[in-house]
Amino acid sequence: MADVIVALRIAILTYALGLFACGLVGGIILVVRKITSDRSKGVE
Amino acid sequence: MNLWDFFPGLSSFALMGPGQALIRILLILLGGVLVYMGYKDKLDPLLMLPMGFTMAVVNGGILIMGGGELGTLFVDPLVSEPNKLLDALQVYFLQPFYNFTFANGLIACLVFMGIGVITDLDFFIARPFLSLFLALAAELGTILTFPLAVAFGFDFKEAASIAIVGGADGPMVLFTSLTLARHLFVPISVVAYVYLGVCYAIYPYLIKLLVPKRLRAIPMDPMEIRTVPASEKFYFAIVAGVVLSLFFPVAAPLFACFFFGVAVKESNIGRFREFLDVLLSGSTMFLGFTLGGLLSVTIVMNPKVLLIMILGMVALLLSGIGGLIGGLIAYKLSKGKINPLIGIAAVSCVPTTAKVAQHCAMEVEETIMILPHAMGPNVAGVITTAILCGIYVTLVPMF
Repeated sequence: MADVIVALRIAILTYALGLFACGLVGGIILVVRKITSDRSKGVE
Repeated sequence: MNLWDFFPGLSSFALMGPGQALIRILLILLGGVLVYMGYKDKLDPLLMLPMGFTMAVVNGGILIMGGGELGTLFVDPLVSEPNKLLDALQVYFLQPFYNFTFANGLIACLVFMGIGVITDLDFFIARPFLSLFLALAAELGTILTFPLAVAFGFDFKEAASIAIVGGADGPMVLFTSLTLARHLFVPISVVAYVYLGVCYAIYPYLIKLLVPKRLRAIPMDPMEIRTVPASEKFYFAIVAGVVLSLFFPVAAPLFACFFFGVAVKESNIGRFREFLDVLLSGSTMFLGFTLGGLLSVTIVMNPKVLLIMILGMVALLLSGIGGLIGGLIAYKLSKGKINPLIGIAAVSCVPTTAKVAQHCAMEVEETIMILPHAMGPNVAGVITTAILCGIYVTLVPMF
């Protein structure tokens, strides 16, 4: 039973870290979008 | 000398117990069924044809090896001691391929690089947060199966390797089980690859069970999705590859290969693209061929296999349910503008689940087109599964 509780904690921690990493990926998309759109406006 | 000595494959049946002989016959028949299903396009022929064929052949070709033990001339995945490994490399014809591409995870990386080059990031980058939200919801099986497997008696490393089946991405299953639970690599990866085909036959029933008919017919305009410039996709691939490797270095080979494949596609280097197309086909063929070769009755007679089969199925079903619940939440939050079926596409495995979503929508409304919208969560599913694989591989050995 103790193992299952530790496993649950690992699962929750994994999901929380996954959430953070996905936020990071979303953030990268927004930053790249901003930079590439600014550059294309500059070219125009 | 009697007549049976001329046919060692047949006479080896006499040396097996009745249970082992029965499973051997069943594996030969299952191999035939997989070949047939691949040939008829019911399952992915690229994988099922080589895997089913070798699976049938390897179980036919069992013979008495030196020392009087039963074995085959295909591969011995359990050999690790250097001298025995040198012997094995000279006896088993798939051993060099197994040790130099499977045991170090290279095959998973090559397949992932090929997937990168055929992945279209447009829909994902156009609506990143919706895609990632659905993809995270569709990881329900990857998360919940982990404590479930521990409750069934698996240790943490074995449980994580089984749980990643819920991510529905073959390369990640290979990578996790090879890194964390090499002794269970064969049953876990085979269960994953066979189930990926089987579950997509089950998902439409899950959809009908959870999503009302009127919601399945909600139209989504494909023209709503903005065109994403190639430069945006290229820079995203480079930056995401570097940043994710920085945070999860254990899974850096997977991130590197996938995002390099995407970068090659978006930079439009024709020669690289052609090479990676061929590499994907070749890697998938040898992946199936070697997986089938590992499915000899002498290797798969593991008491944990049945449990892995049950937990693998539970993981994929939970992920399907999670994806659909995510889809229903997105439908509510968008005030009815999002078809909840795109949630099932977040269970990764590009593009099969997206096609399942489109197919189920078309059953209700013939002219509906949700495939472009489903491709966003579909690609996000690949990325989130790679992320969770990286987290499990990093985190689990700490406990």
